[in-house]
Amino acid sequence: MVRLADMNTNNLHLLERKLLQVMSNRNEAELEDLVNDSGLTVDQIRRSVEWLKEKNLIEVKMTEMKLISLGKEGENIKQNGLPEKRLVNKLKTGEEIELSELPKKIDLNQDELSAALGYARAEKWITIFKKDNKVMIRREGKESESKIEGLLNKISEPLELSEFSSEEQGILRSLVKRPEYISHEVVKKTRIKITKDGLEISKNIKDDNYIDVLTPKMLESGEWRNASLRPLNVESPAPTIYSGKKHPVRIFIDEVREIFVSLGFQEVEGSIVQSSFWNFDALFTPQDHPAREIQDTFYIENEKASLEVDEQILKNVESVHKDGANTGSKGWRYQWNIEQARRMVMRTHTTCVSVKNLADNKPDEARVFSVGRVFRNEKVTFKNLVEFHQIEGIVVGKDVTLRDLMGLLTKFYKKLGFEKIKFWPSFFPYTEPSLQSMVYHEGLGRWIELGGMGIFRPEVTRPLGVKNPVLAWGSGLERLVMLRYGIDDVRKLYENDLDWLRGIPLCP
Amino acid sequence: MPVVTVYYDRMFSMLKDKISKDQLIEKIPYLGLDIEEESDEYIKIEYNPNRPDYSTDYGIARSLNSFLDFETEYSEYDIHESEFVINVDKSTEQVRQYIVAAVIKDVKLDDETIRQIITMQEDLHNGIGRKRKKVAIGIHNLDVIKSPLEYITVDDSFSFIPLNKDSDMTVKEILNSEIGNQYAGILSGHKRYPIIRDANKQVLSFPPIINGDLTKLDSKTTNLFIDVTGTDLDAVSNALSVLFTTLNDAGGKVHSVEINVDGSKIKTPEIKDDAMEVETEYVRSLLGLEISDKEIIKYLRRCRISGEISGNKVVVKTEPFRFDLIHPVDVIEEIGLGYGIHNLEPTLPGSNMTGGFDEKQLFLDKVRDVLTGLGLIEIMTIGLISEDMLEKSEMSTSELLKVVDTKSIEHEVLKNSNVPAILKTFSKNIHKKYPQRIFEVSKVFGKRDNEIHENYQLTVGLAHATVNFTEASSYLNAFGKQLLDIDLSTKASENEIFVKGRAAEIIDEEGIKIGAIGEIKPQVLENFALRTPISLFDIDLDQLMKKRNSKNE
Repeated sequence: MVRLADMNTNNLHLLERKLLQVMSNRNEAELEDLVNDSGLTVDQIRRSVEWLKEKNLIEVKMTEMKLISLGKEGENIKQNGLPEKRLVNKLKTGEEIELSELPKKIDLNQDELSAALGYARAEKWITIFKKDNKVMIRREGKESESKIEGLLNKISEPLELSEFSSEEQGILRSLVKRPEYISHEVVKKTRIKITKDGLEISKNIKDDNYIDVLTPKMLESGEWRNASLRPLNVESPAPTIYSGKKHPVRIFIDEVREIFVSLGFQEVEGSIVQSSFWNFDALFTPQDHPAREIQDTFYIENEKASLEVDEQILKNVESVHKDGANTGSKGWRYQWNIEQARRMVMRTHTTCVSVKNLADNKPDEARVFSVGRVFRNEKVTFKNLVEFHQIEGIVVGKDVTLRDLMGLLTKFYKKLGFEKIKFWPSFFPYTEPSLQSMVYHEGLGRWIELGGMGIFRPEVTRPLGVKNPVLAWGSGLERLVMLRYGIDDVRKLYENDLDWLRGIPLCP
Repeated sequence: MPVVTVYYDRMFSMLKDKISKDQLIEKIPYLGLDIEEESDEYIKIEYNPNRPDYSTDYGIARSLNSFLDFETEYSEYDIHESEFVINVDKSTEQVRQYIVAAVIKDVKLDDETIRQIITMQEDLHNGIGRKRKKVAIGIHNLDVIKSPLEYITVDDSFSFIPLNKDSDMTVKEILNSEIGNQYAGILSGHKRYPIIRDANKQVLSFPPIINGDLTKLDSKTTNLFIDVTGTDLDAVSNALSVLFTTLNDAGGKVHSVEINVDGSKIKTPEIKDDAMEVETEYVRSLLGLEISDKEIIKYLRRCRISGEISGNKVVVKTEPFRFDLIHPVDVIEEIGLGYGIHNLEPTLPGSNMTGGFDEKQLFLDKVRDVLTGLGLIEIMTIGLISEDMLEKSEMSTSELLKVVDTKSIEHEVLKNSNVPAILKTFSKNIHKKYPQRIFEVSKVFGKRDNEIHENYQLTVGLAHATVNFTEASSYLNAFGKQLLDIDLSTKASENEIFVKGRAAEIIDEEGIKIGAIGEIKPQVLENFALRTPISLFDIDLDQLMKKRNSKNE
């Protein structure tokens, strides 16, 4: 809150000054009136009202008014009289008439007639009695202006409920039963009143030699030389604007890609839908392995791969599953079935892409990486998704060793910001030896498990025609993204909440 | 991953030297094990499915004793003779061909030991047993059994008293009841069913379904008869190896059983004299360690593998349950473990390789750059969606690729378009500030020429109170110009998701259709409970890339 003493009119926005000037003349007004007086739009007035209210220069009172006006039927009654009055006027005083004769005498339908009879009787304008087994009506001749008529006559324009006496309000309530006699609406009104402080300040608003807006016309004409630009409240907040941006997971993926490339790795990518051959068989995973079950893997319904794979590779893989072929392995000792290999899956890892790459190029030396989406048939929870990203790197070389793998990982994680790394043994079906790594997260102050690695088993690489050892490592990506942004629930990453997306800074 | 519970008091009594709880917890991971849970009395250890010998604390203790150098020699397993024989009927070949067995005497079975053995049995059933199909194990009270036993087949009217029941049930009844239906599928299609019974025609077991009640164990049992049946001889023998070695470590004396099949007699458990040869240079080069032959032997011994140098090779022999060692690399890993993984110093390999980005991914990077430059926000959604989402978008659900047995209907079909996800994202953000301008670049799936086809799709969605076709068109033009300096034009057409008369095909400079653009139908907006109009366009990025590549040639 700015103190009155510190406020000078230069602290006020152009719109605020305009409004204060208008209010100082009027003292109190409705919002609509201000539009007319000031020449500002409703939106502009609303905004300046808010600002002035904050500064205590005006007061705002919100009131609700209940307005009563005549409905369609109410208008009709005003013109032609109440139906019960019209009914009664059709008879002479003292005249008696059979009930059944009435419809002929008066243009009211059955319902309206019954209602009119009821009201007329209540007003004691008629009596209803039985004579010779017939129902008779007699006009008593005691009519006066009914209170209802009086009330309806009073309503020549919408009136506030407060302008009716309590007796009248009672009658109004009873009229609600009679269709379209009365209509009411609730109107919200905003009354604006200038405060004492506001009045004080407004005295200082003069037309002075300041320009508020510099226009091209002023620049062209040179007018700007005759006055200076009014100082603004440069400390007030400005309207928010949003920028376009990439998804935070994408930003992280790009960082990881940069790291790989800087370490001399070539990016490769491949299909998401793979044959079981590349996803499992070529990776020496036996056909009855639990990971191949539908509980864990998404198989595509009714789809079989044509398996356009080198005949020799197919033969080699079959052999190696059966008895290790010439790789020096015992193999899995079962009969490999090519039909199983044809079943199509949503890939469960990006390793099938790496391995296909090896099969295509049969390199003696290579450094290859991929970052891609993989799928697991799991229930979605705060830490598991059905679809997530995997990063994978492979190195082929004549003399590469397990220690080289550890060295590369150390360098890779260092570039990701993790200075300390530990290794210990692990198990993966297609690498041997295999290791797991843990890195120290400074922010959390603890070690976190990150990534697995190993040397591809010869049962994987030899059938594809690769003779040199192949180092491989991989890890999930989402965990790292969650750590960076302090998120506990992995699902949040893909909710695409615009507030979150808009709010993520590029330098976290 | 399977888990074993190890009580400290039992473990310390099995270890041959003193070690503190802390030291124990520190060393265990270097055997390749993960500590899952810790308490004052026990630790829960997660082990890999290729080492079922770790399914009991006996197995863990056995490894630790060698690994920690508490034991530097280990003895082979003594298998004594027994008079037990199983005569195998040829008919079993059709339904469940293989059977092996062993007798274990003088075992001390306290509650925890029994619990450990049951865990081991379950692991063997689920792991190498592939849910009892390949391996089923029966553990029986030896003292109520009389030899010779027979392994025969019977028809479904055969009856016996199954475990924990008081009266006879027929095979048919068992298979249809709750005690039998879990694994009944393994025997489906067969008319004759395997049964093991003793000389008094008492049923020991109906594998893989259930044991007989007669031979059940109780706290007084000290002598065991173990049968292992299955469809894979290796699996069955390996399972028995894990069992008898563990029970041996539990103090039992192992006796063999003679299996009489088709005239030939074999005694099980069989200890194979398999040896594997590993080139010592291979050891050094794979690990990256200049270690001597002597050191190789020492490190092997830490993993309970005996090695003998023979020229440039080391010849190794392992314990019967180490069927996970199928290639020299498996042995090399053991040597690495024996050396101590924490002792391995990382090295950096030299390389002349230069890195690079994939061309397609670079193109997509530029696509994203252009769109973010135009002020749009990228969203990322999943590749599997529900049919319901397509229906809400009024898009056809015929010819969709589906996945089998999904765990959630949210993920049942492969998306053939990003549009439903874009609309869903808008509907989740109706309370956020407008204008909302978003895009997605991701793979969509479909079939082309009868083959599954994937391509990258760009979808741009614009939502605010006064959005219209023209605005989408402006973005489309800017996109084409900024990315490839091409003019993308729009040709009037009809489209199931767009308002009639406000839909068009996106055409490239050669007249090829590469996408669609339009204003979303109000019915679709209603389906997603949206309250602002939405304009949208879709482009097949693979096609666009092809254009760019041919342009550059």
